[in-house]
Amino acid sequence: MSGDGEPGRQQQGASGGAVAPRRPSSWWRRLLIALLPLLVLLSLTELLLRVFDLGRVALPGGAGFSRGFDPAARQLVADRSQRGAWRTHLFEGRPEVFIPPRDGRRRVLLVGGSNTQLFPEELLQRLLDEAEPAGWEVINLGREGYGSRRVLNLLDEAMVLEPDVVVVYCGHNEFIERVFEQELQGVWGAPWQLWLAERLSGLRLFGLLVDALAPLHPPAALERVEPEGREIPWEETLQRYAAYEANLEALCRRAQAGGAQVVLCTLLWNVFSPPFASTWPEALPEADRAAADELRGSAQTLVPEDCRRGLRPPIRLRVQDWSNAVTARSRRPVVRLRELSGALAADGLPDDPETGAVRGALWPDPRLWNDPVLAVLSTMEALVARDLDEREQAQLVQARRMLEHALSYFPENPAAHFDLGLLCWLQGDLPGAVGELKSAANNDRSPGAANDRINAIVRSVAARLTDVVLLDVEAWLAPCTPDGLVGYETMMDACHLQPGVRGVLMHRLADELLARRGRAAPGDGPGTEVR
Amino acid sequence: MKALLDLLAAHKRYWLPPILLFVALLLWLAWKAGQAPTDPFEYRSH
Repeated sequence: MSGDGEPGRQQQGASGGAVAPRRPSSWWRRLLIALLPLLVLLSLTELLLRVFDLGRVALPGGAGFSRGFDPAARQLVADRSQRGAWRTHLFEGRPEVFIPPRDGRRRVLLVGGSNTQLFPEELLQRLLDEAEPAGWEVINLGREGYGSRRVLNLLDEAMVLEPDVVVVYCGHNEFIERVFEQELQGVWGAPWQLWLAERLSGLRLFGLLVDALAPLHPPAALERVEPEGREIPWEETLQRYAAYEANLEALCRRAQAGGAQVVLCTLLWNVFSPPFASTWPEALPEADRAAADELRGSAQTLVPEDCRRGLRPPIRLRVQDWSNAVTARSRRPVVRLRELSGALAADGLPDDPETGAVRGALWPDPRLWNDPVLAVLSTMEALVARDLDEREQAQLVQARRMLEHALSYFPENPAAHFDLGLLCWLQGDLPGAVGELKSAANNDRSPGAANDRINAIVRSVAARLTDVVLLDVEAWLAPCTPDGLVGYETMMDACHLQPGVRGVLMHRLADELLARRGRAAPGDGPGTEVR
Repeated sequence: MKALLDLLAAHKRYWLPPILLFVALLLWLAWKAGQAPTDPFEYRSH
């Protein structure tokens, strides 16, 4: 090297001793000198860490640091054990889904949230194999907590699997996902930090640092603390529905662009699950809010306690509550709820090892239910029995007037509609109960499950796009429950299907897939509806 | 090798700050990454 900018050449001072090095003359030389050592050092470090297999990012687990929100997050990775094979990167240290190399079978992808994750895909595989041996391959990419935004990112990657059919059961997590995204943003601060971390996540050095710092973090809280951010204004709720619609449409278009047939499902939801957020309208004065709250509170005390315990205030059940009793009971508790009919008639059904449902019901073994499940179901039993004396019935009349008065302050108040729905139910006013309970869900500011609005969007997207098959699960299964009011006989919580219902759905899905095999190639004609 | 080391020593005011900054950035992001929740509240085990 020579010239003015030659690095390293020492200028000679008057005394002949070494003085400060000559400054590199051009900006690009300075940049080179600034960055080259960093890049060389980083490359060497990465090489060493990979040789010794250190620094695999273990802590953040699946779906990258953005948890799948960033399209750059890798949620599927090539599996080195077999050429053409893939595996998911979704489940935080739990077993991932292995996807073998593509063969001649028709490949079915199931995508969605935790309901989809819980689908017994082995049952669907068996049913399809029985009809057409070696004709089908079912891959379940359902991931708990995933709403349409992350499902879209995942499907975008998963199109490399070249599916023939994509089954979408997604819409329960739209607001759960929103709160989670806000929570993540709260930890990361400015969005560029998370953006950068996602892109640095391929560095072993970064993984090493994440793991090294892990013990210094404070231990996780032992109590469940409701995250902030559920109480949002109605305008924001509507924006979220609009985002869901856009994501769902993009999902269908992405699958179709890859040559896949789309089966879009409506969702079943539990009308007896209390609403999650009843944000006051900003314009409502504080005094009116207090008055409405007081009326609601007083009305609740007039309802017999055994008819509201576990609902007001709500116990939010989770799927694991149905199978994690501290000590398994020796006998199955008997819970008498409503008789289901049609596809969900459980009479005479044996224990089903493939879904986990017990004999004569759609739910799992009652010996393993924990106390919150028993508390909620005992309340549902009391609601179904409607065993009220004259004094209690007179109190209900009074409570109903109070709730109607409370609604005059805020006519869409989801919590008040829910309370009124239970009252109507107890009074035997079933049309009133249907209207009020559905109104509670449809006006929820931050619903933790699907509702009529979500299902209307699913139907609308399916009708708008050509070649999308609508499997209207709600229109098919809700009428199997008296008055169409889906409750805990069918659902484990606000949104999760009981194991037996999942089995019923797999049978139906198998029938649909087999019936449509070889038909409805993209471009054939308008979308079709299945009820 | 000695020439290279001399060269680096002579220009450390150019290359050292980027390395220190990069390491600080990695440490900071790694700390934050460990604090971030892994799942929505509804799906956490505690």
